[in-house]
Amino acid sequence: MITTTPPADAQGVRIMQRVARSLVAAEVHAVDLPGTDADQCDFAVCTALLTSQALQMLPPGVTVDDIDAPAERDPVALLRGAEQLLRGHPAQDLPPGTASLLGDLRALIGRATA
Amino acid sequence: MTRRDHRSVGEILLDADHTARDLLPDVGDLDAAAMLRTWPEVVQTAATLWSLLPAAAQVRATGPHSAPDPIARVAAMTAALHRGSRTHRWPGPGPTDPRLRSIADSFARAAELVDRHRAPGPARNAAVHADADASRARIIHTLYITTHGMRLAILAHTRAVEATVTPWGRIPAPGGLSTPRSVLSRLDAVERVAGAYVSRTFPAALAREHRHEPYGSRIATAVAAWDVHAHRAIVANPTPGHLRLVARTQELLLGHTAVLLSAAAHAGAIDSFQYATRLEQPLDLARATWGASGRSWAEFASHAARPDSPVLTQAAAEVRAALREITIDGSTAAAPEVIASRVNLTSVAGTLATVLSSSTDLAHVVHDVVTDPAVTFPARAVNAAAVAGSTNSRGDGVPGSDAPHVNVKDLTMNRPVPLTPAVRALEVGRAEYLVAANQTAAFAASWLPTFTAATERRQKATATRRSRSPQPARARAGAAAPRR
Repeated sequence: MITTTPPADAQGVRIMQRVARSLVAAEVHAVDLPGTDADQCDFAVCTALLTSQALQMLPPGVTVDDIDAPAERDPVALLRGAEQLLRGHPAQDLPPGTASLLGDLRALIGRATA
Repeated sequence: MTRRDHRSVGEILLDADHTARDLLPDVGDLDAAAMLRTWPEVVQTAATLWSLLPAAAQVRATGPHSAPDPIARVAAMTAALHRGSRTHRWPGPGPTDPRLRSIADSFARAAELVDRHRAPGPARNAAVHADADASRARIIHTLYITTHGMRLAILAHTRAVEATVTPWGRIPAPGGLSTPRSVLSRLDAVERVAGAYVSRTFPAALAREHRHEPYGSRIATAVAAWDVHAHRAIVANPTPGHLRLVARTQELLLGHTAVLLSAAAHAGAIDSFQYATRLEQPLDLARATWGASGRSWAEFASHAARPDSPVLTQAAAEVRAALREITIDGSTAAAPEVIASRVNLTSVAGTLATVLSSSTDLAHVVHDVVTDPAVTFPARAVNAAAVAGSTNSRGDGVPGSDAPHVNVKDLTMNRPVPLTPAVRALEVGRAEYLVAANQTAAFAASWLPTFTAATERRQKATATRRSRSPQPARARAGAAAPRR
């Protein structure tokens, strides 16, 4: 049977690529975040660390080169988008460490909106 | 190779607690059957950890559900539930729940740590008992929250099954309605047992949980490790991701340096006049130039994101944690008095003086990268930078910029290519500014005490303070002072 739906693990990889791409975009737009330079800098460093975490979870050889940049510019909305991407997918299809990434992502969103 | 887990038992249990709390907002997405399959493992690992903790302090019984050892009751109830579920069609065999698995893993890891490090014989230290009580409170709180999440998930499952009942009363779902309803009432009992313990102990028991005091040398160690890994990463593998992370972390480091030096000036640990007139502005400028560099490399990295070196990310995270431990109070910036109470500002000022010189050196390394024609970057990143560089503020192309910036084949394959002359000129200019700003800040900080001088001055200050103490104490202090 021919199907256009990729296998579950491939979908999981695709989700992680889009998550990483959203995180990279959030870091680029950290300067748009309201608050002091120190707040923006801390947000950018945390987002960079989360990006590293997400990229480490991709299989070897898989990058985010082919993923289009999200149109969204608001850094917190980009993080929320990444969170929704992870939440909208069955956890068992995502790589180990997703729960930790999700926890860190939620913590950063919480701090940025506090 | 797996990374070593450096978390303490308290941190691991906090993590498990957070994972359990994370279940509650996602009730609609939870798989009740998968959770039910994983639950016995969670309880078993919790019971193992509980059995390894030093014996509980006496708990005064105040009600029907206040037995001193709730874990034994929860374990017995879960074992009975598990035995019964084997004979039912629901939940049956199938996948387990990853979050409950993660909680069980946390309990198992904490048990391993406690078992490895506990002293033989009964613990007599009150602080050890208080910490064990806090761990017990966390374990039961995690089980309580997890049980609640499971009950909500099973309730949602029951409602979904109810919706499938045919007009003739037939229930197509395996296990029908009776099994989940029976599980629900049994979990209700577990939740009540756990809830009774939680209501007595949580969060009061956490107040006496052991916490590491921030130690001054943590900043020095973190900064030294960061310096080594940042240099290594840029020299050995100058990817846009590494350059971005280094620039961002340097910006953060110099920002916190300003906060700490300002607190040191406020407390009189360093010369406040020199700081305000000579160092404050150059330091802020150096921080801002790293910020600009970070933004530029983040644009590059967005076209070429590759996994960053784990040791570099770990070192960056440790620098951030070590600094925030001192400079942040709750969710806001700590007051200078609070900072002064947490760390010896004179010795920290000595450490931070070295940060400024190593920052200049890192700026030189970045300059070397952008001037080296052998260093390549992904074609799409170079092209995007070239397009951005050849566009004026109105978004129009600059005359003469019609020629393609990067070979189309390279662009399609995103091959590594050297910087175009225009992009190189731009990046070199930025790197030169980075070097100049950091050099200026390092020169402006030349009056800061070096670590040795700072230590000596601290010792003198300590000796002066102690000279006001009664004679026997002063004699002991003088005898204990190390010679340099």
